[in-house]
Amino acid sequence: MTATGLAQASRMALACVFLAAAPHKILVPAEFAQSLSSYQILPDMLINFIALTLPWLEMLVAFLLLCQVWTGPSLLLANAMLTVFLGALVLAYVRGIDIACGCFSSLRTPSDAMTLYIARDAAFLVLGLIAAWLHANGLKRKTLDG
Amino acid sequence: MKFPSFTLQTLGILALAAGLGLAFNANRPDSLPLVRVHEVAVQASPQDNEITLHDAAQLSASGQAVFVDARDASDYAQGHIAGALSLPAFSFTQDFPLVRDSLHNSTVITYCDGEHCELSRDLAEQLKAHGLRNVRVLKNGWTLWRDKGLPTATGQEPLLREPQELEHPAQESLSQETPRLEHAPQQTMPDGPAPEQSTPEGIAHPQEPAQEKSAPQEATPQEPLLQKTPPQESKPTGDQS
Repeated sequence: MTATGLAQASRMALACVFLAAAPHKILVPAEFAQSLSSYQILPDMLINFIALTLPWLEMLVAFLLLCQVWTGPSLLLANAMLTVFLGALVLAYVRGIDIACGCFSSLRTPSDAMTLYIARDAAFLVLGLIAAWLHANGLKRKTLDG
Repeated sequence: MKFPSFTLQTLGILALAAGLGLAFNANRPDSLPLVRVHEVAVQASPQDNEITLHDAAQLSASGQAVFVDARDASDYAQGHIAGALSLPAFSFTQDFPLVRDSLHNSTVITYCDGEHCELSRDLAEQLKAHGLRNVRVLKNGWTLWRDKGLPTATGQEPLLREPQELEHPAQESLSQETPRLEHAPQQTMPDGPAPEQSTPEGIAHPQEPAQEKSAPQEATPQEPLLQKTPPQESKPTGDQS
């Protein structure tokens, strides 16, 4: 597979992750707000606003990655979101807070799944960073060729 | 036509997402209020072996209850129900022997923080599995207790506790404790705080650690003090003077 193909594949995979994550949170924002609240990180004032807008950001980023429009900023935002999610999960795990992950749905899950969530989010972040790196390399190559 | 810069594109995506989210919410029949009004925690109807805040406070005031904090030690140190023991659910096996004797003959009330927190329930089940019968769960206990303005404390828990003090909290006196504590003075846990209670005679006096003393609302009667648990042989150690 060429570097361009690899870059495209990684972006598509990343887009699929966000496409899978967003719809449930868009449709049931109250549940997602409850999940956010259980992390005990955000102030109460921000929880609903984040619960209403974050899923749409995920959806928009996924859409832009699929369409290859504004790819750089989309990758930046995707990686920023994944980093924040990972940080929140690790923080909750360290603090011993038993939470509904709120990653793909807002259903409660056993606490022993936290390590799984963290590993999964770390894997997504690695995917995002690879996609960003391949994208940046592709741009550099284009600049040199052009 | 010049494309907007990277930053502008990023801001554009953020603004578009916010706009879409708010617009979608505004058109929902069950739209979410944009700003969540700070809710004072209200306890739902207690279920199973749960206890209400009111009952827990009453038991606490009468000295009939021992609170056990199921959160981790750092959360406990930041703030806990006054008099509560720290027994993180994750390190139950390791820590339970240290507090076992303090939990008999009282109603044990476990708590953690948050409506979704299951640590207190997990801890209650583990305590029951270890033979304790009267174990109740105060759901969302820390938030409810703190919001109600009931006595709280900060700081780490002393690793040594005195079970008798829980039974006779208001009548604590050093003279009563001295004979029993003669065997305990220098025996601290390996990672425990250096005891300041040794007298020149090597007799310990039950004292709270400094951080517990400084807590503003130390008011509950069953504040854990010194204890030698599990009871150990009263063999004087060689380094005692």
